[in-house]
Amino acid sequence: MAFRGGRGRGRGRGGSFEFRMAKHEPFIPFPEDVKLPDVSKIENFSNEEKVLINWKIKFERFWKTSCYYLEDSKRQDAEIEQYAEKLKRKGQQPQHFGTYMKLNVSNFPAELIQGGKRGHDSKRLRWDTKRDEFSLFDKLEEKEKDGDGKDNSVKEKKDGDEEEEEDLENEEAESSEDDYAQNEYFDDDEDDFNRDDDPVEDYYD
Amino acid sequence: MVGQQGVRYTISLIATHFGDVVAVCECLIRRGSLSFMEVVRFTELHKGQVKDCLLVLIQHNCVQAFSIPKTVGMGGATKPVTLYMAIFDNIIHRMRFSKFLQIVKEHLGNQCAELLEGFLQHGRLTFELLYDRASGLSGGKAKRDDVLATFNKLVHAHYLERCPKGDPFLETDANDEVSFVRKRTRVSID
Repeated sequence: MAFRGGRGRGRGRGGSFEFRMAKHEPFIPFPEDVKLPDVSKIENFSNEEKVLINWKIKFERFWKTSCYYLEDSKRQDAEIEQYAEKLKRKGQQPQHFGTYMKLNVSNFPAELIQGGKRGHDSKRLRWDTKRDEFSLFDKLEEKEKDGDGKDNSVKEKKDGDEEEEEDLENEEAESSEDDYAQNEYFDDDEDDFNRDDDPVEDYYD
Repeated sequence: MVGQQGVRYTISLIATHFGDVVAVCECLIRRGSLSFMEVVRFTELHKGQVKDCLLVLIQHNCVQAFSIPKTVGMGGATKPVTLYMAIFDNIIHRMRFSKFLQIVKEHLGNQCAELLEGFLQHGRLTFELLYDRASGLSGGKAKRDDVLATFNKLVHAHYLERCPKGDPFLETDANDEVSFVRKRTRVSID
């Protein structure tokens, strides 16, 4: 969005860059009277300009998906579980920006790094986000290949499992004593849902 | 002096790059240098959130912290207080990162541009992290000496510089303190 507002129309750029010399122009984030340039004009961009645009988009995409992009916790609460699950499925843990920083007193003010002892661990650093995406597909492919080879062995395993299940059922039948006698899982009329003293209460800090 | 349009443009840039960090950045740009507790009070965010925002902004050189002596109590005893200042020019430079990359690529070659890309993405990196990144991206092929040579090229050409101290202490006398306060009020009026 900053790209369109700043570069596309030239607004804001003149105002902020060389602000001691240039005339101030109002910066409108979402201008309504936008006259889009001809497509032919875009096609006629020089290679140099195309490379610049490409890099700019690449940078913005990096920051947006990086750990430096912070979101409001209220908004995050609703989406965080979904996102965390998505990452878990991918086999990744959501990263904290502290993993890329040297959080010590010579680099940052002491009051900001108190309490957070998060040293950087080179194993946890991910420099190439693109490669991670592809590595996921590679793993899936490998799994599929392995899956074909293992089909026969899986069938054999299944037979074994059925036998084990039968054994378990037999064991359960043998234990004829009820829950009360075992002193476990019996209903003692305690109100499980309304306990008076919860030792650890969840709270949002 | 920063014009109102410039301020709005800066805020829009930070919002695009770092999301909700912008609340803290906007507060610092509009109100001038503030202490941590003042930022918490003005933005009405949790302390933890403000800490995270300031760390990200310092990491990307958009904010610089410094401490000045402040008189505490009646006895005239002074105590250092850390203040945070948004660096307007550095934020505006974020728009030109792709141009910087292109210039370095033309002057010093692809290898230097790749290293610089890491700095532009992460703001501040130690050499260890830089080497870690280079070897990670090349699949472990990058040699330490090569990375060091490329890094030195960038330093000698003044494209890179050492990070400032995290919390430099500024000695001020009474007159300086008055002028500092004046400057702060002037910025907030704009």
